[in-house]
Amino acid sequence: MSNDRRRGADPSLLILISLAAGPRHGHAMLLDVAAFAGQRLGPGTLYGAIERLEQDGLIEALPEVERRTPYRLTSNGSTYLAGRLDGLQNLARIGRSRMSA
Amino acid sequence: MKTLMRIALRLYPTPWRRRYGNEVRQLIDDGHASPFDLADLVAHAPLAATVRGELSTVKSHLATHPTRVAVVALAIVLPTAVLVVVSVLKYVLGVPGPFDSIEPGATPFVTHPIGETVLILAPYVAFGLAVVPFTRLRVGWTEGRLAARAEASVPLTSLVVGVMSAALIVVMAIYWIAENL
Repeated sequence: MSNDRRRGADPSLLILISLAAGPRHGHAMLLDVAAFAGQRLGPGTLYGAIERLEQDGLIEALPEVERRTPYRLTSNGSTYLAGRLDGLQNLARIGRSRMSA
Repeated sequence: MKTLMRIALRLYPTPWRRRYGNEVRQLIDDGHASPFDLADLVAHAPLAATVRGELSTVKSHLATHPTRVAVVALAIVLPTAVLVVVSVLKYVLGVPGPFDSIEPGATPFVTHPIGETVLILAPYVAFGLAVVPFTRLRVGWTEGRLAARAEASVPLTSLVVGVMSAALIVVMAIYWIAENL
């Protein structure tokens, strides 16, 4: 199994985490995700995920700035992200406790 | 690469391009225009997903009828197999009888461009029918490298036809190399 598969990070989750720090456009999101998760997303993956997140009401587009459209988390998006992170934290805690048992 | 990526954007439906096209084009201008980015853009196009879905359905359908598919593949490859075997018997082993007996009937078909093409392609088609539905190939980018992984679980009947087709492909390739090089 590759390191990439072991990380198994979901692009939508990575985008939500990136936007949790404030509004960003596509290019900035890609750089941020590469920096904090070490995962390179392609444009098809990025905008496929952005489309789904917008449709689900978890992020929203802001007015264009210098030909780039920034996105930000909606309040639903913040709630959803907090829930996902709590769930992951819980899984990580259970996994660690079982490994050390 | 940037031009190829702009062309690849046309694989996306018009409403999608109206909404996200300019942003993707800006991303391309910002330097996200490597072979990885192109492959990612093509792979995520709804058209690519539809084609992948259709191929997967056909593959699953073929995989549920292995014996029937093997028989069809065998029927496709049989004329080529007969011709190759009788040719090897005559020209390699010095047994001309079988070749000479089928030659008058086979010559018009073998010398016709369409007939020749059908005979040459038959082992490839048969191999694809017999083996591909039972194989799984995963190709992807992992940490900047192309990674491929193949899995196969081929029923015996399909395996026999697949090996036979592969052997014919090899024999025909050797013959072609000997004739042309």
